[in-house]
Order: sequence, then structure tokens, then C-alpha cells
Amino acid sequence: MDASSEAPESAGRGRRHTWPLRALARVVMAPGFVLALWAAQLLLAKLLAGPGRAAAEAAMRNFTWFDDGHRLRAVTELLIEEPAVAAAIATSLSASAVLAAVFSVVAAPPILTRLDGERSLAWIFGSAGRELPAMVVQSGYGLVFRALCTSLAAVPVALLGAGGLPLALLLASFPLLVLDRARAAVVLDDARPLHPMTFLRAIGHVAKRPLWWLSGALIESLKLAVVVGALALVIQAGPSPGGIWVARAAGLAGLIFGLWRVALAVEDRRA
Amino acid sequence: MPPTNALSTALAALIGPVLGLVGLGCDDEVPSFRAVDEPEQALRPESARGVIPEDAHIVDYWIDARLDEITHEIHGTLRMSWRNATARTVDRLPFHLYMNAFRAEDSEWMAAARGSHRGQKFAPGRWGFTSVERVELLGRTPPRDALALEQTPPEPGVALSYAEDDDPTTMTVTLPEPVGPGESVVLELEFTTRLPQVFARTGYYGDFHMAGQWFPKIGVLEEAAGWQAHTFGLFSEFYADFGDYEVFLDVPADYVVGASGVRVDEQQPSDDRKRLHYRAQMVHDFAWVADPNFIEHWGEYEGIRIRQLIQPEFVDDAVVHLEAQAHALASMEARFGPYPWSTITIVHVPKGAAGAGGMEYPTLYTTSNIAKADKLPAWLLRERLTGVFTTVHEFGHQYFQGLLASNEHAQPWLDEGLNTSANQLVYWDAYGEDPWVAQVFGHALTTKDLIALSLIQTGDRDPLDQPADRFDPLVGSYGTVTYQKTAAVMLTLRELCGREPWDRAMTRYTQEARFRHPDGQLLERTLVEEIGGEDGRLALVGDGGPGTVWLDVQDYLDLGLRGAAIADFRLIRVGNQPLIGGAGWHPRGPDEPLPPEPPQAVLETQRALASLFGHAPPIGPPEWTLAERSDSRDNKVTRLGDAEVEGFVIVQRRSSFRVPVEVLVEFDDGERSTVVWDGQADHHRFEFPGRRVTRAIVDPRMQLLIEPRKLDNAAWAEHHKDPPTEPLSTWLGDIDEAANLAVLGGLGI
Repeated sequence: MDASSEAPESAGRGRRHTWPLRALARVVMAPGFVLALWAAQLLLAKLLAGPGRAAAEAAMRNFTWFDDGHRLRAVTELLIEEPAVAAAIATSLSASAVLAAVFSVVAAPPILTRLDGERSLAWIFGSAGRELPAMVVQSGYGLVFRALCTSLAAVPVALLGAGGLPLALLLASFPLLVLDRARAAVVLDDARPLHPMTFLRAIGHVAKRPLWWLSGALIESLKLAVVVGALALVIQAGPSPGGIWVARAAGLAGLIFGLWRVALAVEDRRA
Repeated sequence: MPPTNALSTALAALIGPVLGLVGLGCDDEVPSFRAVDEPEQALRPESARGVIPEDAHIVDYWIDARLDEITHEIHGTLRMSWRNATARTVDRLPFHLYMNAFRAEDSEWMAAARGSHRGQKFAPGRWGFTSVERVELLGRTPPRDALALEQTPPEPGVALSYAEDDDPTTMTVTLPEPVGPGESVVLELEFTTRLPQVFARTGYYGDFHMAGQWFPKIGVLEEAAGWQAHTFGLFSEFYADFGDYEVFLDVPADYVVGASGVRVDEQQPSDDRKRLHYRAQMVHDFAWVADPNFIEHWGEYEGIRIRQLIQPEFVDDAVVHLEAQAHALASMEARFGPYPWSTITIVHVPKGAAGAGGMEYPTLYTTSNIAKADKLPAWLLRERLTGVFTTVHEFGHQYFQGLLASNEHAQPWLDEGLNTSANQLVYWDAYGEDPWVAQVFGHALTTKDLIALSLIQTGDRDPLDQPADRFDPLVGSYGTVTYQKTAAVMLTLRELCGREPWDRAMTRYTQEARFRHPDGQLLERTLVEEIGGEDGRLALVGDGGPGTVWLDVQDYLDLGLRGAAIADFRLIRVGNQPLIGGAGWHPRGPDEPLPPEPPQAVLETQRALASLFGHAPPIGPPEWTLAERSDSRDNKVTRLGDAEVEGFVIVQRRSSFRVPVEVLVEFDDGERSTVVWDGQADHHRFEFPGRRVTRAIVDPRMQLLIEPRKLDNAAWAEHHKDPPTEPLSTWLGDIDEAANLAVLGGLGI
């Protein structure tokens, strides 16, 4: 047994309410895995942003913008005059979304397996292939449930305005936690891989654990805040050499938050 | 009307739903505000407003009208006294029946609009019209004192024949006898106006009734051109003579009413109706609005009563509009003279009646609502565009449309365009030079930026000085060309001439043009004289000798007003080349002493060596001298010292719009120098012997508002040893990458 699984087990017999922190420990104890995922994410983002960056550079030819006080006007002029730039950026974002969705399905078993303490690379990555049909089906259930919950999440915002945001985040993150639980049940507990009851049981399972739900929602909100905040910072800071590294660091933070949320499902089995 | 600013519309569209989603509303309790007394006079005292020329007073109206709030019809009797102030004799009187534009889909207006106007759709079946039931001649050239339009004439009038013209938006009344110079006629008309469901300026929506262009109105008789009574088209607005209005309105008792001028009396003849008497003086139109839901908000500016009629859900915005109104008054009174009337009414139209928003009438205008950007965090969005700009813009019309009253059909730019120019200056006066109108993530979008982004799209499709009906709605250039391009032409001229001469010219123009229906010629003449002086030219650089860069004001105005092109400059090359040296044979100067004759042996050796290598010996005519070439000439420019290179900057003019332009040149030693090109040739090369250029920027101060495309205005020198990364494309690339990271990280796990 490795350190990452030993520590939570011993703690689990004592103070159960600290299990979200033990879930975080599972992530921290797999630094190589985290860094590998981060590097892959950086590489993908860099590659995907390449055409947009190249299109913008080509559109500027040998010219250079000269007035920081009118940067917004310059960007707008560029996008109006060179629609290829906007098209390239939109395409890269669409590609990112598709890749993220594929990654979400394919990478879930390796992530769960690694967070459960498995260190054999062959077993970890092999799980992606073994569990692929199950992940596709469970993700499909998750998609439907997510659409439902997201619609419900709009209600408190519409009724209460900004005051309804915490409740909306709770509702919006619920299907993610349910999907984490359903996937963990399939990958780690040999639950029926394609059966909808696996997913339905996961709904009840999470609903009965407010601490999980609450901490999962908080972690998911933090993740969103970090990555969106970093994007806002890059936009707000303007062209600066350090800006993109802030986003990259935020990407790492977001990755850790995401893994932490998944680790809650793994830790729940031990609790 | 408000400018068709795609950006502001987009901003409002973006902000509105977002804020609607987060449930920003207002309290249910209806607030009330302390009223400011109704002014006793419709005009400010002469000491405040200045003298009004007596001969500008051409026509008076007395109207008694009743609003049927169920059928949305106005039944009215109108008496009009019109004076022929020209040397012409006329035997017919043309009248505008503007509301007939909405009578059928084959009217010229509807045919051009095809069912929509500025994004608002015509409600099927909700037509509007004006029907004239009777026209009578009550009198001819009565003594001035005997003009009592409000008194019922002792004898019935003479029925006159009248008929609509080809387009129903005008009709012609035939007189039994011609009206000569100085003579006048008094007519009585009976009419019914049915309001359309509002989608273009005027009409009803629920209980809200906006009565604009609601009564038959006589055309303008001009000395040179005769009657001016244009067919009401999609882009043609209004033109009428000045005079006084006495208007009686019979409306439901619970309706809150706003109107041009001041309310001089109010009676309640029955429990459910009230009768209001309004008086407006020296105006060319009369409009009114009625809605039981209005909340009244009050303010005052140096004796001018500011009354807002605002919908309950937007009542919190009243102070922002009041502040914008005060900014506009302060700026425009200082620049264009005193506002002559004692009151201004700002109308906020209800949701669903947005088509009525953003329209000007004498002493009354409709504005648009503010998109509540202040509820968003300031680092994300700040704006002073939605609502505020409409208020500034529509008030500006009180000068260019209300007070000067140019022919908006013949030269719409004189109103909409000059007003848009003035609006920018209101912002500058209120918030500082070229202030932001919106900040997105802390990045400013300034007044100049908004004009530029509008011009980029359709600014070069039409010349601006043309009648409204020459603009093709399918070309889509009217808004940009008439509003933003005029502002760009005017404000570019202001920047080029150093601002003060332009300000002086506009002050003079607006002073001379008050109540005078000025045309473009007056404005152009004033600008040429005030900016260009006697010969119409202003020396931008130099004192008139060789090398002087001139701004020919009339030439500039010809290009700007009557040409379709907009300015466009580009840097063709920025670089450095080896400096021309002094090597080779040159005639010896008259005072230059002859060098000592070399020894014969040296000469022989030189000849022998030259013969051996097949070139001429370094021996020439005695009166010439030979200078050797520096070894460094063989080196690359990058290796030469700064004193050995010649920097150059080549600027190209890419459109037919010729205008002087500044070029900022930066040198290797850190110095900067601004040079000016007159912009007349196709391109121009600036040379800087002995100086190494590192970067050049065309129009660095963004003086040329008429040049919206500026991405190609700056470049680093070719072969620059360490050119910085291009900031814009780098930034966009970084944003793209950060967004990809957000999407990958946010969705992936």
C-alpha cells in the first residue's frame, strides 16, 4: 500500500469530517501524474491557440500597434478587417471544448485508478480502454442529468439575482459529483457498467451526503473561479510576458481542483 | 434620432439580458419628487436667451385636440396663420401629413422601411394616418393685432379645395387668390389622426401615447427654391418654420402629459377628462406625450426647468439622465450660445415602445434606458453610453434641429452630423479629452474609437452632403455617413487646425444661424474664413515659404463632405540605408588650394599599378579632387554607426482623401521627432541623414478621426536589432491560449 492510500485510511477511523482534506491528499500524493496532465493540457492549449495566434500575427503583417489607450479599438478593428482571426480563435475554442469532453470520458478511469492508489502505468492507462463503453454510457446519463440540473440552477438566479448564485452553484455542481460517483462505482467497485441504476444510485448516494455535495460544489466553484479569473486577468493585463504564465499556473490550480473533486468520490469509498 | 451605433446597440443588447437575468428591478412603491414650478413664459428672458429675430416668426398655430385613448385617435381643429416672408407670390399651400407614412405599405416611407425601423417591427394591421376633413380660409392679411386664432371666427370661412399628393405624406391646398410678398392667410383645418402602434418615433403602446408629427403642418417657402415640403421618406426628417403654438389637449384625467413649451392652464370639465393648455413660442413643431404610468422627476439648470417623465422601473436612472442633461447644457451653451426656451422635457418610453425612444422635438425629447452596467463589477464593465449618450444626443438636437432648424431632408448632416460632433465635445468637456464611453476589463473604448469603428464598416459608401432620399436603405450607410462621418470630418478639421479656430467658427455659425434655417454653404464659408483666413489656407508647418505644409480648408471640406472616400494612410517602409558619402571626383572649390604635386616616381608607380589591374589611375584633371571611400561603406547598415546611416520613412496615401498627417519618428538615440506630410501625393519619403530610425507612427495623436483604419500606421524599422514583440497579436494569442486552458481545465475534469 502506498502513502496516498495509507494516510486516509488511518485518518478515516478517527475524524471522518476531514475526509475532503484526505481527498486532496490523494491528489498531492500523485505529483507526477498531476504534472503530466498539466503538461498535456499546456501543450494542447498551446497547439490549439497556434492558428489564432498565427492568424493575428499574419494580419498585423510587419506593423505594430502603438497606443495602449486604444487597445480595444485596435482589437475590434483587427477582428472586423480580418475575420479569419476570429474564425481561428472560435475554431480553437470549439476544438478545446470537444477535446475536453473526450478527455472527460476517456481519462476518467485512469484518473480514478491513479487516485485510488494504483501506480502501475499499464494498469492505469489500460483502464481507459477497458472502461470506455461504460464511461460513454454513464457520461450520457450524466449529460441528460446535467442539462436538467443546469436548467434548475437558472431558477434561483432568475428569482434572487446574485443572491441566488450559491444555490445555483450547488445545483450546477451536483450532476458532476453524481457522475464522479457513478464512474467510481463502475471503475473501482465493479458496479454494472451500462445500467442506468448505477447512475440513479449515484444520485441518491450523493444527495444523502451533504458534506460531499457542499465540498464538491465549493471545489468546483473554486476551479471555475480560478480558470475564469486567470482568463480575465490575461485580458485585463493586456500584452504582458507574465500574463500567460498566470493562466498556465491557474490551469494547474484548476487541474488540481478538478482532481480533488474526483478524489472525493474515491475517498467516499474509504470513508 | 439617435445614431445607429452598432456598438452601443450591441453593448445594450449584451448588458440588458445579463442584468435582466440577475433580477435587477425596482421597488414596488412609486416614488414622488418635489416639483419645480411651471415656468411662466415659454422663452427665457431676453437677457438670458438673446434676441430673437422678428422676421423668423412665420407661422402660428392654434390647435384644439382630443385624445381617444381607446381608439388611439386624435380629433383636432387647427387654425393657422401663415405669412409670406419672401418676394414670391404663391397660389397653393403644401402641408405635411407625416402620419400617412404609416397608412399603407406602399407609402414611400413604408416601401423603403419594409416593415421595420431601427430594429423595431411594424405591428401588422396597426396602421396610422391623418385624415383632413375640412380646410377653410378664415382671412387674408389681417392686421397683426387682430390675429386671435383662439377666437371662433364670427363668420364661416371659405371652403378650400385640397388633395393629397402622389405620396400621402403631403397634400396641397389651393388658394382662391395668390398670396403676395408680405401677405398672410389664416386657415382652419379639421383633422383626425390615428396613431399607429409605435415602431418609428410616434404612436401608442398600451396606455402610452407619443404624439409626434400628428397634425397637418405647412411647408417652408424659401426665397430661392420656393416651397419645401418633401415627401416623408425613411431617412428624411423634418423641416418647418418658426412660430408660436397654442395647443389645447383633452385627455383622460389620470394621464400624465408632457408637451413642447409650458403648460399655462389645466381644467377638469368632467371626472374622467382634463383639458390642458400648452404654449410654445418660436418653435417649429409641437409634440406631446401621455401615459398614466409616468413618474415625474424634476431638475433645474440656470433657470431652465428640466422635467423627466419616467417609467417606474427606471426611476432610479433619473439622476443620471439629469446629470447628462446638465453636462450637455453646460457644454453647448458655452460653445453654441444660450438655450432660448425655459423648459426641457425628457421622456422615457416604456418597454415595448422602444421605437419611440431617441427622438427630438422642440423642448421635448425621448431618451433610452440605461443598461445598469453599474451593477456589474467595475473591472468587468463600466459604461456611460446606453441612455446617457441618447440624452446628450437628443438634447443636442435642441440646437441643431430645434434652434437652427436646417432642412433635414436636403442636408441631414447639418443636424444629425453636427449634433454628433457636438455630442463628442460634451463628453470631452464633461469627462476630459477623448474620454472612455465604455471600459471592458479596464480597456477603454473612447469617443474617437466609437466613431472609427463605425466608419470602418460603411463610412466610405456615400458622400455625406446629399439629400436624405439619396441614401439607399439597402446600402446601409445613412447612419454612419450622416452621423459619424460628419463628426469625423468636423472633428478632424478641429484637431488639425488647433481646435480654437474651429471652436470660434462654430460659435459664429451657431450665432448667425439661430432661427435662420442655415444651409451647408454658411457653415463651410464660416469654417473657411475662421480657419483659413483670407486665402482659406492654414499653414500647419512653416511660415509660408518653401516647405510650408498647408491645410486648404475648402479643399478639405470638398473631400470630406462631397466625396465618399475616407482617409487611409499606411507605412510602406521604415528603415535605414548607408549615408551618401563624398567619395569620388569633385571639382575643386575656387578657394581650395592645389595639393602638392606628387613625385614623378609615385605617379609612374600609380599608372603602372592601374595598368596592371586594368583600371584608371587615381589621377585626374588638376581642377578636380578625389576623395576616397570609407571602408565602413562596405559594411551592412546594421554595423554602421548612427552617423553613417540615413533613416527613412515612407508613407502611402491609400485613398483619394488628401489630408495633412503627422508622422512621429523615433530614433536609435531615444529622441523623437514629429514631421508633417501634406498628404497630397500618392506617397512621401522622409529622410533623416545621419540618424538611425527605429520606429515610425502615422497620426500618433489620432488627430485624423476620418482615418479609422490604423493597424498599419506604425512599424519598427526593417533590420531593427531587437524589435519588440507585436503587442496586439501577442495579446490575442495569449487570450486564445488562456481561454483554451479555461475550457480544457473547466470542462475536462
